[in-house]
Amino acid sequence: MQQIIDRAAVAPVTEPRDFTRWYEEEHRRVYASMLALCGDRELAADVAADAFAKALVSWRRVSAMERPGGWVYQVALNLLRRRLGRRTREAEVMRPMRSVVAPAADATRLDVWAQVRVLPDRQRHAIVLRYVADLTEPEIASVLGVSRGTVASNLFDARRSLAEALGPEFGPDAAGARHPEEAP
Amino acid sequence: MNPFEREVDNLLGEPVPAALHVDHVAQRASAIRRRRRVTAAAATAVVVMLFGSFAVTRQPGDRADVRTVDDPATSAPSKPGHVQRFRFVEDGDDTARQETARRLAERYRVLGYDATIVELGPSGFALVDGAGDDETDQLAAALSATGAVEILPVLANSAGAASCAPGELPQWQPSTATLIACFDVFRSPERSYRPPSVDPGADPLVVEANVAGVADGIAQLDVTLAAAVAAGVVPVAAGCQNRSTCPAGFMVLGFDGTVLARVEMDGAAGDRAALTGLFSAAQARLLGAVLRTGRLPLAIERVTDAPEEAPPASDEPAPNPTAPVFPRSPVTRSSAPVSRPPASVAPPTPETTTTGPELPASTTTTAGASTTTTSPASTTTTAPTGSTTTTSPAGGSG
Repeated sequence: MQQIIDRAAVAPVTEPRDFTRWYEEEHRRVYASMLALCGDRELAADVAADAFAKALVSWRRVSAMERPGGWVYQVALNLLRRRLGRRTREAEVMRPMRSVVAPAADATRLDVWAQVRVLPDRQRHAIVLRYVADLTEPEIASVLGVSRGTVASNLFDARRSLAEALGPEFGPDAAGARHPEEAP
Repeated sequence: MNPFEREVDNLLGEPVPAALHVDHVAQRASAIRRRRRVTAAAATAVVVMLFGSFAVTRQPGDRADVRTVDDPATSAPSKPGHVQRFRFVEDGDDTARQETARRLAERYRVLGYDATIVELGPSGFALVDGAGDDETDQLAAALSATGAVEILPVLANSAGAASCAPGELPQWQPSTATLIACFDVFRSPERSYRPPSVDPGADPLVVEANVAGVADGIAQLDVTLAAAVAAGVVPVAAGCQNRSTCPAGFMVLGFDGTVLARVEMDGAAGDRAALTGLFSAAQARLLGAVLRTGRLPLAIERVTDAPEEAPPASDEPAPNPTAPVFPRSPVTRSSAPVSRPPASVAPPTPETTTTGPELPASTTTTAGASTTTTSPASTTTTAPTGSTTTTSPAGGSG
């Protein structure tokens, strides 16, 4: 975690950020990212709220980071991973007792994200952080703790997989595949 | 156009759940802070030990520099901010003691101390819980700042919340390895402490477990505690997690970890304290190793760093944890806690002479040393008896 913080804390800002203002700017996108990843509004909101609550608890430190959003995404992802893991274990335990499988939430509106969710973890995270969280590749690399090249590779592979499932417009060579801030 | 944009717009257009309202987030943050404070408090097992290297700075026979406190309730601590001693008060259903502890805590706070709740874990280590969370942090910081304390992770605490105000700790040498757990002495806070009943000529490795009537036993135990310190041994107050089955007590360790005395209070029995074994041989050896080496052999690197002069455990006769060093006094233990009268309203009773349990000669073998035989404890102590005898709780603190 400290490494993540160190990575994120490139330079302290001169004035402490106002949490509320920062929260208003960030929370919707963090929530959307978590929702894209898990497809469960309640869980997404819970994870996002917890991540921001942790940010508030450590606000003095977090606010000094150049991009506190990266820290929040990292925390939220960790929380989400943990809760999904717990949910999976619970499901395994409960499976013999269930006669009916609950339908997936939001199967219609979240089709694209349902496809994203079947991607491997890193590709899934890279896609969501890239397109929902609107992070650049270096920022994604920082959040995920991998190299930028790995992120680029994951994004490429993810979009190729999505293109197969959703159409060529989702492919890696389609328009808008790169972040506007990134050089082609 | 980025094919995700529309999908992202849809996502961002999702109504934000109420859980994400900033006020709710703030509430979660408060809950996290509370949890952290509780965790920190629980993790602040203040084992007042490892004052540097005990083996180097303290040798058998050395006398601890003890400052006797007449009355912790009225004596001003000499150094505000420097916690000298913890006094243990159990919570449970004893509101009187709670109240006493609270008042004392306030008093100590006024005097510059950080009022703190202290609990004893199953191991007998002292645990510090926060009367106010910040106070706990401050206390831990103050203790750490002395360089004389290590904060250990806490063991499970089953005793429930307990109240304590940091009282007076004898003026130990800064590098003295010490392990003092808190002990219940607030039960009769108005009473003055009596001078330690230590035979000046006694072997400093041995201290008399000099316990008088249980009504005054807690104060008396504190005297014994001081006596143990004065005698150069390290007393360990041991609270037990189950007040009905494992009453308060303490044990006195020699430098080699030998259990010299185990004292158990049996409040329900009334007028006598039972002496019994509370610690396992393994615990005793562990504590002994701590005292000997001045290191905490709980961390691997420290285990491997044990000094060569430490006698092997096999050379030490393992103290029998079940057999009392002294015979158990013929008391009947009741498992039902009996409420105490409020200490604040119980006037000090006139002093009488109470004869403690007849203690036969006990043989204590110290590792690498000759056998030390102690004479029967001169158990005549001045301890007030009175109305509180019949209202002693079963189990005392623990």
